[in-house]
Amino acid sequence: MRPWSKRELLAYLDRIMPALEGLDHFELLDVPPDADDKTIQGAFHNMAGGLHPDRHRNVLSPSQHERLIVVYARIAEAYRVLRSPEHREKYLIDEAKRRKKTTTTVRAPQEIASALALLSPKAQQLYRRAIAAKRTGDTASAVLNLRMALAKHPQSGFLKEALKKLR
Amino acid sequence: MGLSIGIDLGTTNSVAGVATPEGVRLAADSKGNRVHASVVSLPAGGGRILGNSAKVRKATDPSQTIYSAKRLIGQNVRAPLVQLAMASLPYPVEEGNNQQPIIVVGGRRMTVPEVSAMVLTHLRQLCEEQFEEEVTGAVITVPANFSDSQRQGTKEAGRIAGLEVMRLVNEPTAAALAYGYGRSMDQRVAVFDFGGGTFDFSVLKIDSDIFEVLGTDGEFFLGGDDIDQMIAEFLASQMNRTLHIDPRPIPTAMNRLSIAAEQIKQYLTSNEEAGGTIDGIVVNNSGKSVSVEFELSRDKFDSMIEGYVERTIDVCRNVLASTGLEVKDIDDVIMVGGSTRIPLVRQRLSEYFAKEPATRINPDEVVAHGAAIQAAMLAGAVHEGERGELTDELADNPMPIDMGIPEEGETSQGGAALLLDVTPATLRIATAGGYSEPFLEKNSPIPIERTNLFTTAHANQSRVVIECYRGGARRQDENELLGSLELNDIPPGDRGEAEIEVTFRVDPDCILHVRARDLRTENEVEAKLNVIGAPVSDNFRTTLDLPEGLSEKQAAKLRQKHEKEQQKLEKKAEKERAKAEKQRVKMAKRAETGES
Repeated sequence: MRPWSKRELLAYLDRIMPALEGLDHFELLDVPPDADDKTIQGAFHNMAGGLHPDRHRNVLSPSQHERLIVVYARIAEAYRVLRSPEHREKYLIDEAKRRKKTTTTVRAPQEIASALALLSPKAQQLYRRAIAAKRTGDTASAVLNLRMALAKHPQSGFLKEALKKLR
Repeated sequence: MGLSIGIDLGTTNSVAGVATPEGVRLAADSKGNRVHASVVSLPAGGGRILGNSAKVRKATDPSQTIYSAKRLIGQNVRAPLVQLAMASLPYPVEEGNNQQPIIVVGGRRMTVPEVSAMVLTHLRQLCEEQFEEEVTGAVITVPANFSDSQRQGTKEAGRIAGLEVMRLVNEPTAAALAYGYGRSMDQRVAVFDFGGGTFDFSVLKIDSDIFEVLGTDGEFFLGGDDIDQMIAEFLASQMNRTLHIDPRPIPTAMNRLSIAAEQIKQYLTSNEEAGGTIDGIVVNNSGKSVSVEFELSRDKFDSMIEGYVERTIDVCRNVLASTGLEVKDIDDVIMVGGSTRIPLVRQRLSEYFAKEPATRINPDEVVAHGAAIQAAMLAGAVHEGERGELTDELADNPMPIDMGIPEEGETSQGGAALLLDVTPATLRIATAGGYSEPFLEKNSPIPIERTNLFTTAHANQSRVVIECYRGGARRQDENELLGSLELNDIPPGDRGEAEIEVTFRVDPDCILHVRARDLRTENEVEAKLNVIGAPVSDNFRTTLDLPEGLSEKQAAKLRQKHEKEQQKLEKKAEKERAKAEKQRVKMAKRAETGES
């Protein structure tokens, strides 16, 4: 299996890093939810062949390589869980619970308005973009926008909570 | 940019080499031997003797000659198996900081990584002489079942020897790489690695250039050394019976018997019967040296080691079961390590797998071959980066690194292979009531990162201690404690209200890092686990390497100065340790009162 080019690799990292927390194991391994053992092993081999950190040692800067190891370690974890029927079943149950929990706890509208008022106009704009992205199902952009907002207000409990819910 | 070599740092023997486009070249000593004894001899007169020249000194200068250091590396001296191993070593081993073993030879106190570093330095120098290039990086192999502290000790040894340890590779994985590299095969192979000190068994899937470990297991303290010990015991009891002299309490006598035992074992590989006289084992009351006559048949030898061999087959059975494979799914069996030369081992192995093991491979050299290939591959990626501006065209077409082991009738495919290795043991986290739960089960792919949520066991608990274990048992104390991590200042709340996010990260060298975060306060602690028995690099004594050409007086002065510095360091370390111990007790108490 051919290692990815540096360009492919960096584009992938830029795309995946902001969304990493929001991706589930199937998305990380890039397999459909009903994938069988063979598909899962094949997908892992494919990804490992392309982006394993050993194949890109020092082709990347140390910080880029570090990011690659972080992403690869998550893909390995996804593989560990999905290849075992027992782990996979437990994971699906936990995921369902987690999703249910995050959609039932909703803040009151006036609470949101007052929390928003404390933020800078730019951060408010980013928050609105995140909510809009979330509605269209684009979790990755939602997370990215919230993170950018959070960068402007690192202490904001409101934004932190919103990000946590999104994850 | 210097040379990147592969090193098989073995319990009894070591091999080092470099991968070249023509194949792997192994470093030979002046007599042409490619296998070097992992022995260091420090004669009373000064200097050091290494490798095969040091091996003969095991008999002539036993108290100054260190061997089998690998059995002690990264070990807790107080562990029962380590105590047992120490009992059969003729050189004294003491307890140092953090319960690490300290080897004492000729008044010099050395940590085990320091001793292993001498072996590594010897190999490095052989490579540098032979390949006429400076060696900078190395891939060092370790038994697959090596624990965190053993791995850290090995890395430390490499560092002391002035090597950049590019990677620790598991020995069976390296052997499989040497076996399958450049042959673009689609096979499942079993690697049976029975060496001088340890036994490992791994099953791999080779999918053209990807080498994925499906399962591995092994036993530490199961190797050729143990078999020698068994024969030595047999000779000792023979001596006791016929001559009424018991050599067992006499270390020098037992040492001579183990040297004879190794020769007898090797003789029995190709002969049905061994017999003769061993001279000069002890000196009797009248000042005469005593010899012992012995006779040992292959059958008797087989019945002596049968238990050991069955243990290895049990491990094979367990690994196969854990991977969901059957014996018939294995395409080839690779034998590694000198103990696979024992006829009974070969016989049981071919019976169990219902096929003859692969014989085209040299069991002493195959691991170093694999290590050298991996070193070249990792360095190859380095070279790419060193071409200054790396264009994407170049990255798209990486230079093929072609250093397969050429064989008759086969063309090497070359290219970069990829090793996908696994954790050899289950990593666990302590839970309430003396139990533990698995966090990353054995045979998990590495590098890997897993995060999970935990909570407090009591109301208003302000502190949690995350204890990490290694092993397969539910009860905490039946596993090996790797270390612990503390998270403090947890805000008051009901039992189970706190959300503690714990992350286990296993790095490519298979060393565990643990991180804990309180999700409500965002407090975070990250730590490398403090492992008992692991080398403590800051405190331990260093040996003094005197420059050549000094007068006796100058040398004595330098030695004295060094000794003083060492004593100071030791005192300081001792103080710090006592302080840390005190603090630990205090904290444990605080927690108790906080929880109740």
